[in-house]
Amino acid sequence: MRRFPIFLLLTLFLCSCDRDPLSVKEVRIDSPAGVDGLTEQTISDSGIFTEATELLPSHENLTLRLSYQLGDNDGATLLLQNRYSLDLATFELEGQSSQLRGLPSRGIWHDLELIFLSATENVPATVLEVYVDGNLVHTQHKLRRSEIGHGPLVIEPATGATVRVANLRTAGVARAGATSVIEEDGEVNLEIPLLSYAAYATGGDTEAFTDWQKEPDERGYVQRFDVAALNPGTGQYALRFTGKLNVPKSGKYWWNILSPSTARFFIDGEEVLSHDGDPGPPTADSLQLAAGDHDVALEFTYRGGWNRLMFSYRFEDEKVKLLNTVEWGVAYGAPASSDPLPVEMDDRPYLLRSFLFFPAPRIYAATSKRTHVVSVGEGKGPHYSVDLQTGSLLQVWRGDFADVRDMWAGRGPKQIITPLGVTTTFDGDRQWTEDPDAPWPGRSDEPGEDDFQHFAYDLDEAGRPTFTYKIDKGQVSDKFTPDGDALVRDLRHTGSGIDRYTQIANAEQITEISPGEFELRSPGMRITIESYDGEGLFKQVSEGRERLIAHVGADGHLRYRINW
Amino acid sequence: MKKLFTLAAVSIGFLLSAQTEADYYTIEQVSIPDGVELEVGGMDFLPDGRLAVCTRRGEVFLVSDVADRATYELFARGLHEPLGLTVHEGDIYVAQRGEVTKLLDKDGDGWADRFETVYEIPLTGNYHEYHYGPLFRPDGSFVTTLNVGWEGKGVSKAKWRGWMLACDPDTKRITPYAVGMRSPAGFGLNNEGDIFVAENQGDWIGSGRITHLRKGDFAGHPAGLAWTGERNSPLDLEAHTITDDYGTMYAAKREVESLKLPAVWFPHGIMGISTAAILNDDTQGAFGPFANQLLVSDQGQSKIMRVSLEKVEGEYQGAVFPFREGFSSGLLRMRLTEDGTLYAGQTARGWAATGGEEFALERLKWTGEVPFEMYAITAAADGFNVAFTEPILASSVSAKSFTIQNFTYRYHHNYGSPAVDMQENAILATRVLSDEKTINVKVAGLRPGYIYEFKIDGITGQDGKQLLHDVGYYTLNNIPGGEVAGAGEIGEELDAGETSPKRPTTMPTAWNGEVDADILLETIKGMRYKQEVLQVKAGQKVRLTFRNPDDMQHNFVLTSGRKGDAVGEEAATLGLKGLGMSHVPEMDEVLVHTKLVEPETSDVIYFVAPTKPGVYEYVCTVPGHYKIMRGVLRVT
Repeated sequence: MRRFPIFLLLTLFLCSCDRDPLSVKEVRIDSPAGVDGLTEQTISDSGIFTEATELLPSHENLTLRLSYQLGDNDGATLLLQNRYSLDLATFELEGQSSQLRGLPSRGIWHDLELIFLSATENVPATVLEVYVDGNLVHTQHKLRRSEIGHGPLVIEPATGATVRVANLRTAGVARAGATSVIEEDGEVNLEIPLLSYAAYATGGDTEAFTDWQKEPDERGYVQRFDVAALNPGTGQYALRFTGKLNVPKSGKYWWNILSPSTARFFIDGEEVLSHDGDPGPPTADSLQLAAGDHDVALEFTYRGGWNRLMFSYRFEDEKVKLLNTVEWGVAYGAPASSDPLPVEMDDRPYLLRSFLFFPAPRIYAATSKRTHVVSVGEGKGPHYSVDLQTGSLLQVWRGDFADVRDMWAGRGPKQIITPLGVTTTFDGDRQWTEDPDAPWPGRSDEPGEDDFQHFAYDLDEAGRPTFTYKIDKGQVSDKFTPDGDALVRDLRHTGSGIDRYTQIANAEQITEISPGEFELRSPGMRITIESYDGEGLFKQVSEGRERLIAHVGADGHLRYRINW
Repeated sequence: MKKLFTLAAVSIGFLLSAQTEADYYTIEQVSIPDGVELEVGGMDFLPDGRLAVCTRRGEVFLVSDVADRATYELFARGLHEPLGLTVHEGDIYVAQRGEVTKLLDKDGDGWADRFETVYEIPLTGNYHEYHYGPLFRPDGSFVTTLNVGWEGKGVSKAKWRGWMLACDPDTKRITPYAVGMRSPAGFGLNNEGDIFVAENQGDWIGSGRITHLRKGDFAGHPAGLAWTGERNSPLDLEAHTITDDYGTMYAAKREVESLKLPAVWFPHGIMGISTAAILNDDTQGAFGPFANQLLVSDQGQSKIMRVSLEKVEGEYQGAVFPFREGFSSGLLRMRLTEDGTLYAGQTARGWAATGGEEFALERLKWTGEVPFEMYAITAAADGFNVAFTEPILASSVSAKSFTIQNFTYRYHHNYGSPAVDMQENAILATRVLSDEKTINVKVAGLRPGYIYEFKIDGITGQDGKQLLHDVGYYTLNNIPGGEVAGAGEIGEELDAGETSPKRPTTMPTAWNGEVDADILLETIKGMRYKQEVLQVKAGQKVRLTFRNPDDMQHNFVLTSGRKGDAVGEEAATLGLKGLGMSHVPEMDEVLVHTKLVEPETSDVIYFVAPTKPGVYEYVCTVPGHYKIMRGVLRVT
């Protein structure tokens, strides 16, 4: 049904254009690929599965990323070590429900990220983090039915179901954070990808804890030396962190600790730094280290005072940097509030200005804020957020609208909203450019100081906004209209006297299904061009990414539908 | 005869005790419907008499019949913590965090349908980057002010943080106007159309104050100087030139020409703790006898203070007096109607206020009775002229009627300053001037750059009326006729908190290095303790670490039982010495306490828990905090 108007339009425009407006011209862009440190794995059977199939041979710890697509009414289970089940439709993990508010739709591609730790003698098998499309699904999940052993990673479609899997990327170690790298400028950047910890409640003892052989009160895994969060009781306590540090360059390393507590640092069993917790300058020591993996350990005894540990290092004459430290003043991702304060909705759309963590924050990963964001919600959605400084659509979601506890309770120090649904996230780069052959511009260094300025929004009778921006001497407008589960976007450009280009989406893969209709993977969605008077579409292709772009004439428009 | 005197004295005493602020100015509640959280961020009257109110939750309500039944209509919502609203030529302008926005109702259905960005400002996302205004000036342009961010100190990491910006609403072009602000929550015009900005105690800001700003002025907080290198900056002062070494602002002014001295200092804890709105009484007498004086609200102490100004050597200086306390919440915004009703918009969420309510809208009306008050203080070459609202009974005036002392504040990167270098001023002579309302007071030891505390005792009006308030603070930047001496050198700082016997900061040797209970007590933003219940066993040896990640000073004062109110109230009476004593009163009800802990620092004390099991309240005694910032130590 929906096709018909497109063909009608096509017929109209074909008369006036040299190029079929819905044809897609591919442009190669030399843009560096993002590095995630994972290794791409070959997928059997072209990635289409109708019965249980091994995706990876027997594995232990695992960091995994894959994209998958279920049929409209299909289900499937991912089996870690062929033993622990994660339902890819409901996200139940071994029968435990997920933290998601709502469920992503079937029929489109989704991105799954997962960190798994095998059971050891002391610690049960743990799913440290699971994300779907960047939304946190599970965190710090110790599996009840834990057994020591190995097994393959298996995908198991439900009876009669079909599952597609693509872009399977893994690391054979559990990596909750980044690993050490040599930066582009040649500087060494150290990072321990995962820390194991043992926590001891020590009662009123204020001496440095030494009884590390004792059975700890708690064990687990963590990404940073978050000493304040790991107190197993309420009083004094001690922590022992262990991990593997990859040293990318041989040479001399200096280690520094700043903390009011006692701390000792070991590399390959040798104590390299002992900090007695006295106030004053940090304690520092140096050590010649060979490139390669080293076992590291940090022993920490809380003795009152500021409960913090700042661990820094320096390689040769390079800058001092922090190692797995919870930095002061940095916003880290955290699980969504279990006690949301939802915006009270009525029959009018709610336009809500706020800051926004974008992209959605990962646990213990520093996150950045967009500061001039408006989110628009009505009913049970679709809802969306727009960055008024770049003109870009940031995210869409369905379900309940927004949690405003971080703005409306107390001083609201974060001043963010949290969507109360599963979000699909766009890249947030600028909406408009003048050159389809150049790498797409990200954000201006100084938002608000480029030639693109938000000017106004006007509400229609239903209370839905049209956003208007000044762009150089011209003007662009942007309107979103929910239609069932989809969102229809209408972009218009006037008054510039020149042609411009607008971006539709940036994805890992953009596949044309039919003229004007595209299936996207990572992020997963379908885009359908509904009305268009430009001269043609472009697909910028760079390493690992594709971007769909539309030419929009000096007085032109583009309307498309987003299904997800 | 003697009997008559006694009778007169008794009746005068009765008058004194009987009169209250409410005899002259009455506070009335404006009703707020259930479900409306009217956390007032800004408000102004529309030409049709409706009051437009924006809330910290981002709504704009239009309140009809505000003088009586008050009905509310929602006009707009979803703005980002707007902290200012002004009606200009019939249109509503608000300062949201990221922009100044003009709200229009084009189809006249009572619901804003066009949100026009007048100008946008960059932000880093720091919660302390508040944005206030706009304030329209007679020429049709407006100004707004931009808080610095807070990262353990005031920082300006996005352009123009710490500045006052001017804007022509037609061209939408902004011009940086003045710099050096920290938390300029309120600003207003005096009767001459000059801009005054209110400032809160904080880093580099010794105490609350109001400052007259001209284009290119530097008001004292150096963070915003990061942007003086910008093309359109009206001054080129660099941040590194501002150091702690000057001692006082007055001393710094000699070397930093663009530094603007406050017109009036508001001693912290006495004349408020968080100055907010500045409002000129332009009602020509409809609001009482203080026409063209400035009214300055205080958010934390839920009150209004009154300011008289004069110009000496071309610069403003003047006095602040108590005016009216007892509002219900944090008094952030004020507007006056032509008929002399003052509307007081209030909010206390996250920023506690003595009024106790989370939000309120109230009106203040003059009863028509003129209080006997100090009307104004002005400087003279050899002292001061103190004017009163009514003719003075000359026989009640003598040198003993006045107690005057002067002090100043340190100008440093620390949070606030105690009152330092305090000196008494001997009263050399008093003389009632021919207007019968003014007393010329000749004083010894006059020095510019100091704040003069006036305490008045026994002066009555000709009709026997007693003073409603007996205290005022005059900021003497310039002495008429020229400078006498400098305020460069300052004396010993009052810092009883460092040496108090009730603040044991070392572990008693008899403990042999062992404690029984190690307690961590922390603050959270919003003037609260994170741990509101602590537990120890009777007689235990306790080490208590008090850690303050909030952006203002706090302390921990353990009381001898359910004595939080008693100790908190007593702390509020410490006056000028309060800060030097860490706001801890000397009384038996105080068992132990920490020092006044700076933002993002901590203090550790050692004490033996009470031997008697029971509940022992602890409070923060920083003025205005104890009502909500409290907890209990359970001794079992």
